Formats: sequence, structure tokens, C-alpha cells
Amino acid sequence: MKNTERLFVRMTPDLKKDVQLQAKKNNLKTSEYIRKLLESAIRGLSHEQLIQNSLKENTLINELLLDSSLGNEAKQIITERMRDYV
Amino acid sequence: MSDIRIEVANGDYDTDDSYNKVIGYITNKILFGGYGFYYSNDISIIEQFKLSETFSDQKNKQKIWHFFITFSKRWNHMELLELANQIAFSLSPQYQIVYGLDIDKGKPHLHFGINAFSYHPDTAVLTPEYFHSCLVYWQNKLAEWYPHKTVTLQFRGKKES
Repeated sequence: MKNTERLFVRMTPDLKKDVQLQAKKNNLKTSEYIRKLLESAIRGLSHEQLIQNSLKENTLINELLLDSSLGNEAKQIITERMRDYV
Repeated sequence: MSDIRIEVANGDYDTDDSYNKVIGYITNKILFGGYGFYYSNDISIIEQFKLSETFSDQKNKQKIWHFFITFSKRWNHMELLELANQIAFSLSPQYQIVYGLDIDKGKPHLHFGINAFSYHPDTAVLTPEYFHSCLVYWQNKLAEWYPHKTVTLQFRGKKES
């Protein structure tokens, strides 16, 4: 569905600055950033957001598998636990 | 015989069961990792791959790509895992991917299962042409990293040097 409706929101200049800063940090236009926040507040996180959020957790696990200070047994235990969620 | 061979598994992988087959096979390896999934009791990793297709704006017959990289001689497992992680990480901003290390059948090899559908609904689907270009990129990268080794790519039965 296309975004055809407009919504005007009053806010303090400080909050507006913060919102714009956060949007920039997330590589999004301000309106897109606000829309995503509203969507997740009202409908919960989208599949896309859930997957994006999972990337940090994935990185951590992948780094553990590459960690030379962890033995093979420990890595296989991690793999075994992950397998429970396949 | 090349030192490093990238090969795409034959088969259409165009049914819902394809996700189960590929992900199930790869995650059964001694070690596996990947990007683009979370650990939930409510929704399995396989279901999360399927959801990307559900929410995608794109259409494609192929659901998932299964490819593997075979090494002619004994390689350090850590080096192989690092390589697998590097490839998977590079694709992760757009596509879900699992990788597995296989050391059972003599020559070590890495398996990859990459969702043809991006988790971003409007991002391009991995068509054969697009996916082939991704693998050519990795073939060139590997040739650059290992200049004394031969790297070949076999895409659906067609051997390319």
C-alpha cells in the first residue's frame, strides 16, 4: 500500500533535532524513520526489522565459532544449541 | 583438478520443501553459522527464511541457492570457517544465509544456503544471472587471496575456469 496520507505532528525543537539525528544514524529519511517507529509501536516489529536486529546476535555467534581460544568441543556445543532452533 | 572449486548444486529448489532440504542439510554439519535469523521458540530458522519470500514484492521460481566450495587438500578448519564467515557476512546486509563446515568425506568443503528472496521486500531477488555474478565476484576474490591456487566455478553443471 502506498503512503498517501500526511500527518502533522507538533514537537519541541530539541526532540525534532534528536529525531533527525537518529534518522540519519539509521540511514533513513526522517519521515521514513518516524513511520517505522510508529509501525513497530503499533503493529510490532516487521519481519525485515526482526532480521535486521538479529544480525548483531549472529555476528556474536559467528565470532565465537572463529575464536581460537575456544576449543572444538565448546564450538560444537554452541552449534548443537543453535540446531535446536532450525 | 582445481585447488578451490565453487559449485552450485543442481536442482531447481522451487518448492516450499527446498528450504527444509537445504537448511536442514547444512545445519546438520559439524559446525554451522550464518546471518539473518534469530533464535525463537515460536518461529524456526527455516520459517524465517520462508517469511522473506512471503513478504517479498518479488517473484522467483528458485527459493534458495545451495552452493559449496571444495578444497583439494587439507586446509586448516579455522581458515575455512573464516572464509565462510567472510562470504556470509558480505551477503548478510541483503540476504539470509547459512553455512556449514563438512570434513567427513575426505576433502574439506563449505556448504552455503542463501535465500533467493531478500528480507528487504523491495530488494532484488537472486535470479540465476544475478547469483552467477555474485559467485564470479567470489571466484575472483579467492583467486586474488590465493594467487598460487586455481579457482574454478561450476554453475549448474557448466564448468568455467
